[in-house]
Amino acid sequence: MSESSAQGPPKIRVENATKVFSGGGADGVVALEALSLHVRDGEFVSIVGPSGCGKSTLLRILGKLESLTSGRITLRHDDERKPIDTILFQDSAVFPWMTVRANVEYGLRRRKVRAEDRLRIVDEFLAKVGLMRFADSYPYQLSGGMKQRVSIARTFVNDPEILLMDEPFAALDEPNRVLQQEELLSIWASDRKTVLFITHNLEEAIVLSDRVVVMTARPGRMKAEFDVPFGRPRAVYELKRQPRFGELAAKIWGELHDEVMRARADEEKASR
Amino acid sequence: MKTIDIVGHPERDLRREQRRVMIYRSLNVLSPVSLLLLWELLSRTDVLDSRFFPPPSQVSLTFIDLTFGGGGLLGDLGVSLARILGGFLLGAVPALVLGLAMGLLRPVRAALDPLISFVYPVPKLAILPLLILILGLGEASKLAVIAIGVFFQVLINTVAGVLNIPALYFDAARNLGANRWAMYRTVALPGALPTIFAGLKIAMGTAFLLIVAAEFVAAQSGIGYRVWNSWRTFDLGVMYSGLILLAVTGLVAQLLLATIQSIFVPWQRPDRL
Ligand SMILES: Nc1ncnc2c1ncn2[C@@H]1O[C@H](COP(=O)(O)OP(=O)(O)OP(=O)(O)O)[C@@H](O)[C@H]1O
Ligand SMILES: [Mg+2]
Repeated sequence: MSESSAQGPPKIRVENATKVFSGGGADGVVALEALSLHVRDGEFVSIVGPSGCGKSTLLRILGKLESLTSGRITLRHDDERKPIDTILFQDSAVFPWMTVRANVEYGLRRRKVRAEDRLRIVDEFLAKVGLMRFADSYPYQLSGGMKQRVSIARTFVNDPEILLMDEPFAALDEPNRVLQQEELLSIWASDRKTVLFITHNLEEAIVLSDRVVVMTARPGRMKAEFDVPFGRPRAVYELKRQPRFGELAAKIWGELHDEVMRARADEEKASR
Repeated sequence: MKTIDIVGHPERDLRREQRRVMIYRSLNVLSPVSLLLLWELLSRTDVLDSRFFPPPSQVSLTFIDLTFGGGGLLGDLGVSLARILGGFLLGAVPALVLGLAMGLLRPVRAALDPLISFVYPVPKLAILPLLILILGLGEASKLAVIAIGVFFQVLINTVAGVLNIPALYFDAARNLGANRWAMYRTVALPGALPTIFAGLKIAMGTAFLLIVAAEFVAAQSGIGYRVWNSWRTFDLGVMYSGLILLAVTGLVAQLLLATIQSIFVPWQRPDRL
């Protein structure tokens, strides 16, 4: 990819995106309403917001698994030999009928990558997520956290221009989460993919991102955004001890807290 | 106050699963054996009329003689098995292909669902006369009745199998670049296999039922014909031998399917097989 493309139009441009699901009440469920968001090429953006505010829906629309009701989304596909985007799903979407290796190489096989390249790439990532020994195991033989690591490897091996990550580390235990966060940062540093990262964990959002976006309660729209001022490379544990880290977390928490309370109030009103 | 002690027993803990398997195996054997013993007892003590219910020991002697001696039962079994196998394949293979298409493609499902719901409940034996009318008294009508019976059971299970695959897997496959054909091969088929095998097992039972019934009424050969004929001539030894042979063959067919399943579905937890 050429240098100039980094200055070009945004990698992801979402303009007034609205998504209405039919059913669930007379006029359906409005999951997103006039949401706008720009993400630069190579930028790492986290989205936080109350449960049910439409975060996964936005990712599914970007991954072309869901249609858009109104508005417009433009993705810039620079290298057409690579897939434009790959979703890392919230729930483990590891295929139970395939071995760990077959799962991880799934995207490469669909693109007809040569067997020896496939083997090399898959081995590299299996080693990175610490699952080399389980390459020939079936998912039922793995723990929940291990399955999620298979998911992660499968997504990275696919080598998309945009990574759409939906709470990828939520199911991991704390040591593995920190490990995977640092691993993600180092993989990301080497090729600077554009990342849209959903999480409920504010610290995680700050540690990883260039920018943190807060969404409103449903229907989801942009509420606030925060630039993360810390330089890179970052060491996850060091960063968390800085006073500025705590200040930023508190500010984001303030915005998020209001929305969570509002979501809950809406919920109570609806159930009455 | 009460204390609860949980103490490790390495030997016992590791052996437990093996022991469970042993217990289930012996239950498998024990229940039919005790039934046979009861029958033997009741028949010998003339609680059961031994003309109608000869003791198993006597039946088994007749059985061995008729099957491996000059009785020709094995030949008849062969004839029936050829019909079952032929009809089974004729029914199961198209059902599998169509079932996957129906599960995967909503228009196909919308078009065929009403038709299938209409035809499925008709007892397949009821159309045997029609089949004989069309195909004659030969092999064709027998293959057809089995094929039709098997077809619907495999079809319905295949469709259900595909529809029960969580949407997430299709989403993941599509997002990773799978086209329609890859979706078939890598998600719909493997995901539906456990249910498909359940359907194949039921269909195998149906095939046995249908062939015996068809041979009762419209055949001059086959194990069903022999059983029916021996009943009419009150040759109960042949009748019971035929029944035993059918039971054993049915069991072997089920075991065979279970073995094939464990090869094609290696990702199923062993305790679910
Ligand atoms: N296929 C669907 N049909 C109908 N409604 C849906 C569908 N998918 C999502 N929704 C609704 O859209 C809203 C947003 O859902 P979404 O999964 O995007 O939330 P989320 O922000 O990812 O929540 P969480 O943080 O709990 O994962 C919810 O109210 C949900 O009920
Ligand atoms: Mg979600």
